[in-house]
Formats: sequence, C-alpha cells, structure tokens
Amino acid sequence: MSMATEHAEEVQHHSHTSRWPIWIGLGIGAGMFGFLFFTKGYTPFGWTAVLAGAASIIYGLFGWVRDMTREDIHEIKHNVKEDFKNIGLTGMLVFIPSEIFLFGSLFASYFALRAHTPDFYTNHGEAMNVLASIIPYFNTICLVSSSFTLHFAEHFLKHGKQKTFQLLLGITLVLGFLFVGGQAYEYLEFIKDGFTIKSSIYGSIFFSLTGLHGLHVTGGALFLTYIFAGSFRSQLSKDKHSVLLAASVYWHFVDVVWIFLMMIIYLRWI
Amino acid sequence: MAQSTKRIKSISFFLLLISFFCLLGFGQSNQPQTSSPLMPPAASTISIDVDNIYYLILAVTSFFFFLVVFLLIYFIIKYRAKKPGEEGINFHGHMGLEIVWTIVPAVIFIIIAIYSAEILQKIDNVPADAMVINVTGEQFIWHFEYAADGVKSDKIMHVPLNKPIVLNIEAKDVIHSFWVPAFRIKQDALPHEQRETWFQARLTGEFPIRCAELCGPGHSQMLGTVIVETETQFAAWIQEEKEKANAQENALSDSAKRGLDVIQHQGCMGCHTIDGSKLVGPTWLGLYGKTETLDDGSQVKVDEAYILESIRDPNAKVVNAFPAIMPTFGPEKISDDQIKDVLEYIESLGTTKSK
Amino acid sequence: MQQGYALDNSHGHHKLTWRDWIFTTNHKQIGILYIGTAFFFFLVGGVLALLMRVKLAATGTDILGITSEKYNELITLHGTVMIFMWVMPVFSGFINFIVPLMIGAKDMAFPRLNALSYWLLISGSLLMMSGFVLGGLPDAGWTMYAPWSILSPGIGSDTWILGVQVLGFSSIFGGVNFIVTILRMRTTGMTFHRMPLFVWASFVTAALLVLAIPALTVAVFLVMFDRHLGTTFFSGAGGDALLYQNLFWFFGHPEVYILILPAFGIVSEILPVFARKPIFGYKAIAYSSASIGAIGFFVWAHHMFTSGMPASFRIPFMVSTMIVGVPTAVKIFNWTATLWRGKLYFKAPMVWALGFITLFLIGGLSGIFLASVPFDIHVQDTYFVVAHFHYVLFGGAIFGIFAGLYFWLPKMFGKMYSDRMAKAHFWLTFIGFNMTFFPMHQAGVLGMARRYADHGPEFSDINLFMTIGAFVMGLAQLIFIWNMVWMFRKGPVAGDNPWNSKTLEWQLSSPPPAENFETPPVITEGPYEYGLPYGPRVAGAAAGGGEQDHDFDRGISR
Repeated sequence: MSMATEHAEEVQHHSHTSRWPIWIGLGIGAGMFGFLFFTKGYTPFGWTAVLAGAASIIYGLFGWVRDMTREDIHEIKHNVKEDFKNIGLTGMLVFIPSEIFLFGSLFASYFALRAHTPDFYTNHGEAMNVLASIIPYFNTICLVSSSFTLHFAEHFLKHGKQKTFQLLLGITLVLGFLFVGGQAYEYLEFIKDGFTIKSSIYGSIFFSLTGLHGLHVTGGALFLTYIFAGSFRSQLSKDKHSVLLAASVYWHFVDVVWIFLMMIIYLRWI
Repeated sequence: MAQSTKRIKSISFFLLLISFFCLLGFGQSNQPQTSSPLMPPAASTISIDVDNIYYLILAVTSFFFFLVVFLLIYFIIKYRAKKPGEEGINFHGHMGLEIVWTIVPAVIFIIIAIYSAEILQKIDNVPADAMVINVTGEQFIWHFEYAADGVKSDKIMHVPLNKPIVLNIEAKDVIHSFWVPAFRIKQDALPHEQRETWFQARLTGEFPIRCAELCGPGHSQMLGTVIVETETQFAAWIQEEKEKANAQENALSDSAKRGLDVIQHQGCMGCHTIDGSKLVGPTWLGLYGKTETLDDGSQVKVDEAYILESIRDPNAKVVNAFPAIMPTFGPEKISDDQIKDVLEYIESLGTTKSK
Repeated sequence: MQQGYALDNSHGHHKLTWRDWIFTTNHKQIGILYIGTAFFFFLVGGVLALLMRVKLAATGTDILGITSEKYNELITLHGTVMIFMWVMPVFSGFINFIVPLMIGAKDMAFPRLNALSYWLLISGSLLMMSGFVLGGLPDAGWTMYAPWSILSPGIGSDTWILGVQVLGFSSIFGGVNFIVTILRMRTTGMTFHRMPLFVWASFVTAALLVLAIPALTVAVFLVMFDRHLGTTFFSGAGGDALLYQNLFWFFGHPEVYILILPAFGIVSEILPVFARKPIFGYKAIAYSSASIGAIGFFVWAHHMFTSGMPASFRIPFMVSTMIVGVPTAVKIFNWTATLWRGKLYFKAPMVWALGFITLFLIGGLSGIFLASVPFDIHVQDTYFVVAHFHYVLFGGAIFGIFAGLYFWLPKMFGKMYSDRMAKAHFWLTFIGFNMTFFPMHQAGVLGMARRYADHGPEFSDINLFMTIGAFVMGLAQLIFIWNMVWMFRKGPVAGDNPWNSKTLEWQLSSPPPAENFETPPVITEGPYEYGLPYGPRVAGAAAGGGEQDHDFDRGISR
C-alpha cells in the first residue's frame, strides 16, 4: 500500500499486495459461522462470530475504498500500469447478467409456485391484496424518478457542472433511501396484519423477492453514497467517472427489476 | 499407396465386424425367457424395447469408440518423432472434414432420438383397462394397496401375469423412487403428489424392487420384491389376504384396534414388523416382556415404561445393532391415551416371559 | 511452495515472505494458492472416496465404523469437495496463472477482487468442512434434493448451504474478473481468433460461472428458508419438490461444463506443442466450446427424466441433449486429426492428454445412452450414471488437470519434475481408473443402485474388484506427491521454454517476472504456428528483461 501511494513515476514498483481482501473474505466466513453457532444453540459464540465478521468486513471495505480513492487521486492503478478506460464499467456490465439470472430464477420460482398452488393469492384462506396501501405506488414513483435524476446528474458531470451534479446525485440518494424506508414501513404493516414469510406460499415468495430487491437497492444506495461523499473531495472529473457510470448502470438495473416486481407480484398483470 | 489402402480396408473390416457383433444383441431379447448376461431379465413387455435401444446405441458407440482409438494408436505409432527437433506439417484444418464430422454425428443422433421417442410413446401410453395398485413410499418401506380389492401389503407386491398394471406412486415424507430393474420402469415418488407408471409382466417369478432416490440413512434397505404369478394364484392370494385381515381385526380388543389405527396412521410399520422379521427397528412379535441388550451393553426389560420412553424419546435407549434413527413422537403426535392403545396392541402380539 | 519462488526477476531474487502470500493480489501467486488449496482438497475427497469403496467392498458390515448414516455423509462430502473445492478452484488457479500471461496482460482486471475470490474459497471450504468439528455433516447428496435436505436433522445441511453459498460468491466474482480480463486486457494484435484455445475455454467457463451460479444461490436460499423460517417452498403439503430440482439442474448442468471446458482448453494447448503441428480446426474447437456452453443452458431436465416432470417435456430435452453431443464429437475428431502427420513427442503432458481423449471419449459416448429417455429411465440413479460422470469428470477433467499441471509446472516454479515418475503416475492412474469405473457401467445396467451403503450379494465380487482399482488409483497419487517433493527439493532448472512452445507464457522467464511483460508484446499471428518449413526454433530466448529483440519467427515482436 505504501508503495502505491508513491509518485506516479515509480509505477514499475507497483504493490502486489493488499491487506483488505483477506479481511472481507474471512469476515464473510466468520459471519456465516455465527449463523451455524446459532443453529447449534451456542448463542454467545454466535454473536461473537457475527460481530467479529461484520467488523472485519467493514474494516476491509473501508481500507479497500480508501486505497481506491488514493489511487484515483494520484492517477495510478493498483498493479496495472495502463489505465484501461472504464474497466469498472465493463465489470459491472458483466456482473449485471448474473443479477438478471438471480432475479430470473426467483421470478421463475414465483411462476412455478403459482402454477403449483391452488388459491395462491390467499393468506390463511383470505384473499390477499398487497396493493391495499399507497406505499407501492409511492415507492414506484421514488425509484423511477431517481433513475432520471441519476441520469441527469451524470449528464451534468460530463458537461463539467459539478454543483448541479452534486445536487441531482443528492436527490437520487434521498429518493433511494425513501424507497428503502417505504418498504420497511410496508413490511411492518404486513406483519401487523398477519401477512408474513411463513403465512402462505404467496407470502414466502413475496417477501423473498421484495427482500432480495430491497437489499439490492440498499447496496446501490450505499454505493452512490460513497460517490457522493467522494465528489466533495473532487475525485470525479469531467472525463474520469468510471465508478459513477458503473453505479448508475447498477441503479438503473435495480429500477427495472422493481418495475417487473410491480407488474408481476403487486399488480398481477402477468 | 497400395499398402495403405489395404491397411485402411482391413481396419474398416474390423470395425464393421465389431459393430455387427454388437448388433447381434439387437432384437435378440424377443425370445421369451432370455437371460442375457448384459441385462437383468426382461420381465415386462417394454423391457424388450428398452433393451433394443441399448443394443442399438451400444453398436453405434462401439463403432465410434474403436474408430477413434484405432486412429489414435495408428497415429501414435506412425507419427512418433524419431529424433529430437523434428517438426510436423503446418496444416490448419479442412473445412470439408469439419462439415462431415458435424453432420454425421448429428444424423446419427437424430435417428437415435426418433427411435427413442417412438418407444417412449409406447411407454407413456397407459392401457385403459389396467389394474390399479397404489404405491406409497415412506422412510424406508414401500406400501402397496390393491385398489379394486382393498387389500394392502408392505414390501412385497403381488401382480398377475400378462395383465397391464398401473401404479399410482406417491411418497409420505421425502422423495423416493420406485424401480423394478427387471421391468425397466422407474418413477420418483413425490411427497403429496401422485405420478403414474405402468407395466405388463411377461415372466413369472420374483423380481427385486429398489428405491432409486437418496431418501435417508435407510435408503439401501428400502428394498422389496415383485411376485409375478398366474391370474388364479393371484386371485387366491387376494382372497387369503382378505380373510387374514378380517380374522386379525376380530381377534383384537377395542383398545388394541384403536392402537392399530394409530400405528397405521403414524406409519410405524415402516420400520417395525409384527411377524418377527427384522426391518430398521426391532419386531413387535413377542416384544413385550423381553429383555433386550442395549448399545452400551446394559440390559433392559421391555415393559410399559420402556415402550413409552422409546416412543417419546426413541434414542435414549437403543437396542443393540439397530440404528438410532427413529423419529420422536411427542404428545402432539400420539396422546397418552393413544399410547395406552398402542401398548395394548403390542401386548396382543404375544409376550415373552423373562426372569 | 514458497521455496525459491521469485517475485520479480528484474529486481533480483526477492524471496516472498508469508505476508506476500496472504496479502498478494498478483495473479500468479493467487493462481498457485488456488492450485495448492485445491490439491489439498483433492486428497481429502480422495480419502473420502476410498472410505466409500472400503464400505462397499465389505457390504453388510459397518467396517471402520462406517454405518449407513456415515456412508451418506461420505458420498455427500466426496461429491461436494471434488466439484466445488477441487476441480473448480484448480481451474480458477490455472486461469489465474495462465490467462493473463497468454493474452499479454500484466495482471487480472481486478487484482484485489481476485484475492477476495480466493479468500472466499477458503471461507466456503471451512464452512463446508465445519461439520467435522461442530458435529453434523451433510447427508443429502451433493445435489441436496429437497425435501430430504430440509428434513434431515442436525446442522449438516446448513453447513453445506452456507458453504456452497460462499463458494458461489467466490466463483461469480472470479468469473466476472476472468471475463473482463479477457475482454479488455488483451495485448495489441491479440484478436479473438488469435487467442489460445485455453483462453477461449476460460472465457466460456467464466460466462457459465456468472450465469449459472445464481440459480443455485436461489435454490439453496429457499431451502434455508424452509429449514429455519418455516416457509414451505419445497416441503410440506403445498411445497413444490420439483421446483428445487429444476433450479438445481439449471445450475447443475452448466456446472458440468464449467468442470470440463477448461480441460478441453488445456488439451487443445498441449496437443499442438507435442505434435509439433497447428491444432486441427482452431475455429471449430473454439466455436464448439462456445456452443457447448450455450446449449448447456437448455438440457437441464435430462437429469429429471424419472422425476415426474410433465412427460411432454422429455422429448425436447432428449433432443437438446443429443444436440450438445455434436460439438463434443467435433472436438474429439479435431484433436485426433491434430496428431495426423505431426511429429509426436511423448512427454508426460502429452501422455496425460492422450489419456484424456480416450477416457473422455468413453464418457461422451455413455452420455448418448443416458440421453435416450427410455434407457435413461432404467439406469437413472444407478452406477451407469456414476460411471458416466466419472469418465467425464475424472477421466476428463482430472486427467486434463494433470496434463495441465505437468505442462505448466516448469513455468510456475522454474523447476522440472521427473518425467518417468509422471508417466508411472499416469499408467497407474489409468489402469486403476478403468478397473474402478468401467465395471460400473455393467453393474448399473444390471440393477446396482447409486448411493446405496449396502448392496446385495450378487454385486459383491464386482464391488471388491472396483475397490482394488480405487486403491491402485490412490497409490498412483502418492507417486505424484513424491514427484512434487522431488521437484521442489532436487528438480533441475526447467528453462524458460522447455517444450519449445509458441504461446506467450513461454516467452517469459520461468517463473515469470511480477508484471509479466515489460512492454506489451505485439501479436501478428495465431498461437500454434508449428511445423513451418524453416524448422524448429531454439527455446529460451530472454524475456521480461526488456531488451528489444524482434523475433518475427516467433510471431511476437517486442
């Protein structure tokens, strides 16, 4: 690491080490072990492992992000001399199909279970209406409009309008977190009404699908927060915003998944 | 040149000979009572068709196997480098050959697929007038119910010769798979869902039934037997079973009858027999009052308290040489009153006097 | 393994400390870590297999304390370890070490993500093995079919689910990294049609990793919910047990190609080098890999012909399965034709590659039997299937792995192993392999069911014979281990290009310098231009040092 922060002329002495991956990699394992301890009934061990895992993942992520930021500022790449333009974006574009297959598998399960279960849309024998409140519509408006604000944020960054960019990115973030909050509120209402993950097959797949999507929105919002915070330290410039491009592709993808969720499991059009 | 043509001729002759040899099996099992060493007895009507597919594919694949292996060995001998530093030719491929060896396998595969599809149609075409047997798989036993007569049997399935029989297959707990190798039929038993398959036996005799889907620790003990007999023998067996069931029912006290209901409902006879034979768990014949040796060498007398404990907490005291796999039956499954009935029934199976 | 491994040749032989290894982000060290870890699990999986064979030879007894419960745990762990912790990681190791060198890159596209993938492999493997310590091993088979995996008591299924989940993350990150590396980091002139075939195979494999694993993620998460949150996706009265199988095999069949395609690539690298002749039908082999990968997503239900899925789906899946046989056959014919009019040198990698072709051929041909629905109904879940996939995954993948190891070990460590020991290793493995697995075809047809802890007396002799074969194979691996010990301790210096190969990795020093190419090489021709009229070239030109030599003969100028 120390080498990587040296001057750019010294690039042939790239660092070939990083402390962070092992912290994250083993941290994830430790967290999972915590879960095993819980199922075994070793609760104190469980908490220790989960907390230690979480701490080491957070430590690793922060270190990783810090290194990436430094390398961006000093315009050097970890290990690789040539700056492959927008390689992070390529990575994201390759990763998105994996996500499509992830949601695709769960949607396919939804259709299979629906075909397999008589009275699929009932909960404890009562017809279940997940559109009873206004929240799904509110969430749709939040997420769809946030895709537009992010798109224009990107546009203004390209034209060098840093302040407008920051404003629009900020609005995107607010909309994103409003969505997450809305969904949490919706969940609480459902649970109060006795509609839970184990109350019916529909409940099971409903919470699995929306929960997975909610996790993705949260992840995307944190990703954007990182960029937003960084933009005050001016690491994003007119022609060097690969990270933003990647984040925005991800955000648009999450938005499209929501539209499918809305059409299929809320409105039941398909 | 002439020599290499000769060699190619002799190789092709050999290949043809081998595939001809493989084709000999094709159609051979049309004879009744065949006992090919390659296959289990062909005891059902469709098994002949299935075997024919096997011999056909065996012929085709043997031909290609020997073709490729011959070429490999021939090239290995002919083109080995004789001194260091030799180079081969700078030759990148041949479009015509690529097309040939794409199309030839494709055509062969299509032929095999069409032939298989035809036979599959025969397999899927269930005769309308078939006799129905309901088959239920449960850890680790097969139950049979002869729908028309209401007769039940475990592990052993009796069927009449030359009569189409439909099996409605289902499972109680996890997935099992009903397989009779001699009939070439196999159908998974799904929990809470029925699937059907059928066969028509063409040979009398006893043929093994196997479970072909990993279903738990007793998977390899989940065996059974199909007994194929003439129609009169089969009718006699049904009659006998009916009488036996009536006699047993009449001999029992009311409490023991209720106990038997509980036992059948909970599926106890999946692991315990009432005729002295050994399954996954100890038999109940003469169990009451017996002294058993436990895993740790200590002895215990089978009395009310022990049977009660063995239902509520089965793995507390396990009889030697039996696996500790019995599930727990709490009060929500069998009430205390019901256990009394069960005890009554077990006692009715005879008691053993011990010191 | 650290012994004598140089980080950077141009800056003196700096020995790597343990810190350099655990914090490394260099693709070559990560590759070696992957291969070393995977090999350890190969031994674990092998011991499990031998224990299974001992139990089967002594049918009806609880020999060595292997009860039928324990036997189920053995089969589950054997399958899981061999697939997820040996073949997949060892190929990740090869791809890591070789692909950036082959395409003229300095490293992978995301070096830190690469290290994360490796450490997730360690986490996942520890979770998978944790049952040994915590008590409770998985016992529902490597397929974890619901509802038995849900109802099975203890934490066995949980260790499996969490482990495979983490291993899945590792593979997806790895796959993204490989794809981006191959897409973006090829050197000047390295067009798709000039890429070595191992790079092609790696690319398709990576695509399959990225697309197939999510289905497994979903399937095992839902099993987890059924186990702990009280849902009834696959179990209970409303559960759909067949949905699990559909999800699993939508992952599971592409997974089979994940396990075999890199071996195709390795063999396609080795044959031209030791036949001194360009590969026959470069494009046919490259495109057949791609089409096998693509068709692989449409054949999954051939694992479910007896499962009770709708009968009308069986014919389409039989046809698609037959279709996937065509590109496979094309590959075999092309490899065979590569030998024609070459000059064959029978070094260890070549011998293993030829063994691969023979055994994979049998595995491919027995696949045709299984594609035919009526016959598959009879042999589904029997030893015929066991024989088939061992011919593909052991005779195919593992023979390919050893061919690749013997081919690239000199490049990885700069030292040469004993060729005679490597050949002894081959012959013993080859004989033991066929003794173990060939009789299984017949045993399966005659009615020997898979995953049985005990078999009837009619199968006793054949089981004893197969067990002897398995021990012959086990013995053979000891030769390999001894060969490696010998190589690290006394092995002679291998030289930069001992095989006189033309692909890029051999133009560097052995082991290659930390950043591979001082200046990116420029590629002007395909990777296998052997047998040109002006004869063989001298191996071992200096590389990585930075001196400007134009070697048009080699097709590389730097």
